[in-house]
Amino acid sequence: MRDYIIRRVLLLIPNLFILATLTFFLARVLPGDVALGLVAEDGSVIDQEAVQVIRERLGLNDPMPVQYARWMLQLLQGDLGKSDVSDLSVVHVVAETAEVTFLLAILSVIIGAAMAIPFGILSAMMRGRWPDQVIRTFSAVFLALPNFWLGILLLLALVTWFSWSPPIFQETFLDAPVKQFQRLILPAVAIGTSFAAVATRLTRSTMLEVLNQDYIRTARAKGLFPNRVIIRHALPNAVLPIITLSALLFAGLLNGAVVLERIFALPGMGVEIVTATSERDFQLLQGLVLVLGAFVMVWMLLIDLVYVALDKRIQLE
Amino acid sequence: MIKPRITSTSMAVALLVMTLAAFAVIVSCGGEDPTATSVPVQPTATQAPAATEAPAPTEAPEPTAAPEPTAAMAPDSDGKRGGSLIRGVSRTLRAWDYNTEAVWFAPQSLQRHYSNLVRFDPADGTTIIPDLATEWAIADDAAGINFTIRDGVQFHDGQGLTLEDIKWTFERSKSPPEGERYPRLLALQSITDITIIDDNNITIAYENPNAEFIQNFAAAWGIVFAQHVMEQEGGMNGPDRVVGTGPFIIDDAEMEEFVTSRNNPDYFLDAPDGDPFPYLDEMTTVALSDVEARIAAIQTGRIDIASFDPAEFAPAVGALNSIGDSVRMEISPLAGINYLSMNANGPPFDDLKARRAAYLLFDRLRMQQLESLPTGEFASVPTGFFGTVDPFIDEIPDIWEVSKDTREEAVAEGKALADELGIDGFEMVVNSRSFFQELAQLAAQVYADAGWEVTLNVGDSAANAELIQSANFEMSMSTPNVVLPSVSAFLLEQYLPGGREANAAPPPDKIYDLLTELQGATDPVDAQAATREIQKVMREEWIPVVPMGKQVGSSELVANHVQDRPGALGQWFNLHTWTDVWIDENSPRK
Repeated sequence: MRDYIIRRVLLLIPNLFILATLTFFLARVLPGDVALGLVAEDGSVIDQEAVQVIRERLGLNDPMPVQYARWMLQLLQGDLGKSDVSDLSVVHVVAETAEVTFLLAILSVIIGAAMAIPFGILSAMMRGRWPDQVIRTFSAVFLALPNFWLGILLLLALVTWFSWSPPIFQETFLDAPVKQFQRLILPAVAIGTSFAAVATRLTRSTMLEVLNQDYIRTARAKGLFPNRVIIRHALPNAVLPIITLSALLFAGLLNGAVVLERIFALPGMGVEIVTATSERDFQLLQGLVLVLGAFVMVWMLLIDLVYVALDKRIQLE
Repeated sequence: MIKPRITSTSMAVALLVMTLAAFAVIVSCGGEDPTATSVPVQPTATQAPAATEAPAPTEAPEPTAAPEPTAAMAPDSDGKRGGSLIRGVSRTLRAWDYNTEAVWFAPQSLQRHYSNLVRFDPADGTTIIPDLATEWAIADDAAGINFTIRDGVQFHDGQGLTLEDIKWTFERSKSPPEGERYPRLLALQSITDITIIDDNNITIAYENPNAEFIQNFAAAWGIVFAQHVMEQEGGMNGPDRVVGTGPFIIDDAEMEEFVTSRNNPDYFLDAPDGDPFPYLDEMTTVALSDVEARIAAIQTGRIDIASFDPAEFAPAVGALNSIGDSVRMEISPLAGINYLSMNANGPPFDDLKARRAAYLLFDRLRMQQLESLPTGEFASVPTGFFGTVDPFIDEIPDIWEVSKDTREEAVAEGKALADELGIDGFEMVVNSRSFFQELAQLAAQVYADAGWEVTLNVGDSAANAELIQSANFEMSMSTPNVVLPSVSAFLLEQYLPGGREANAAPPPDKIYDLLTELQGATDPVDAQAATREIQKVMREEWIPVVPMGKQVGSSELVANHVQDRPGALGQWFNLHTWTDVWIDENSPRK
């Protein structure tokens, strides 16, 4: 186990190097640069001279290999760089936005799983009967609904019926947990519902498969109560695919639920990445993608370890 | 197979109850929040705000004598003191030194902390009134201005304002440090000398005679800095360096998120009640980039004022009408123009005949018709090359190429020129924001009516800027909001070499003679004659762009429980000191 973890951690280095290289060059495929992004307004170029001044200051006039080498050297020194637009360091931006992104991802997964697991189990147990039909219909409907649209509907519904909308000022979870919860709950419900639509169907099909296994039949033959059969014997085996799905969703959400972050004015990493892209703020973009890449890689390692803990049949080797 | 003993009904009911309970918790967990107040929903039959007329053109100020200083506030105003106001905007600041930013979001978040030498009257947005300067006098040759600065003005950190601060500010403006740029202060680069005459008088001289130069000192970017703060190590690197003499003192701020300011008790301008402005105890600007979030926030009392782009405004109106009588909407009659920029560095628009064909085939009245509101009201006004700054804007519908009576002749000439050159359309570069795309589609429709096919090339600002900078385009759409409301400034900043339209055709030499004539004109009649001649040359011998028109309201403001000196909120887009605004007794933040 220890060797496996060490090997995976060491593998992070070449993976991050490849990610950094790809990010650097792919970002530069985009037309324009930050100098143009800064001076462009309403379709006109304000000041040609200013474009050159900014390019010179930011080193954008250097050949691309020189820029790449400079960035790599910077990374080796542990410096992720700073925004070309706001002058804020990437570390500062990550620190400012990570909490929202992580909390939103966690809350979304919790809400999604809290809906998906019981509904999936119920649907499997009531296969072919009306609760199954209702759950499958609703999961199909929520699967089809874009989550940002659901978010807008939830917002409008609360405004219309309760004259309530989420707080608008960002505060940390430790300083104001209730306010932070209020800010995040609507987008989390929107994302969680979309996730639950998929996960419910997955839970149902996995449960159906598990319920037909010999060991379940044996458990029932022993005279165990049905609830105990489900909770003790069926669920632990059925939940692994849900964990996989949740892990993937979580990893995806780390990159940001961009549209929902915008709608609910959440200063998350997704919005930062989109803004950095549209403004050609390459330093910030590269730094953010690299940090997120590292998060996701570590997260995937953790999930692999959780698999082993949950199912002794899985061998890390 | 053993059947589970659980019944479907009980399980389903249990799950349903759990789901509903969870939702109830979400809604009811709205703990105490000073900014959250329920606003009763009262559907009303209020109509969408009617389009208003474009601002009346302003006449050039008398160049030989200083205008009489006017009172900053009419005595009939009855402002109420106290409370706080929260304004939702789509973006806030991205730099603490907002002179480095060209976008209006920057002064809208920060200008209230500073003062100018003079400022525009909040009532009309054009008349120059005192600010730090109590009086001013334009030199006889219109190449300099003497400002008399008031005594006893203090910066927010307690240090007194000196004439050295003013001198330092404008010297810094004309020559920004290496690697910095002040895109909205380009006109100040023509300053040649700043002389402190005595304890209260300072004279600023500039290269060419220009009776309208004083407007640079009233503009949103023409603020006065504290030299001792700006010269600290690190410069403008945080909110603690936002130190001015303005009506508000910065309290707390987070870049790109919010700026909160408190009342400056030592502000030098007094309100009619005898106490200093402002009326508000606190003012906050907060970024809510999504239109639905802004609507929801104002409906539920989280914010008091929100601004909307034209493309956002229509969906907002219905929802906002449900707030009730306390809500009001203001349309900002912003100076500016929408036009199509032709790239004269390559075919086809390097040829005057092609530019004239494009100019003649574009039907400005048809564009106005396409832009009209669902109520039938016109949402735009047809303009010439100078947009709403044009002193003859009212005559545009009657000029030969626009008038319905002669339109067919203009189209015939345009088509003949196009046929001669073999042109039947072009590609147009368009910004991907919805507002620009909508305008471009309407413009393409206008050309389609005339038989030209327009292909839209949609990209974001940086991508389009690259095309434009490299002159790799045929036509692009521009919607500049002009800061300096004068024809001469318009020419210099937009169309002439060195201006924003870097790919515009070079002007005939006579334009420079006419510009000199216009800038030096001390008699308004002479200025008007020069302006008419410039317009004639532009229409017939130059044609740097194709004028489209201008939205009647370029941006709109919705305010709830907010009162103002008449006219002030209507000028919200240009005026950011917020001295003339207060909240009524029913405001949730009173």
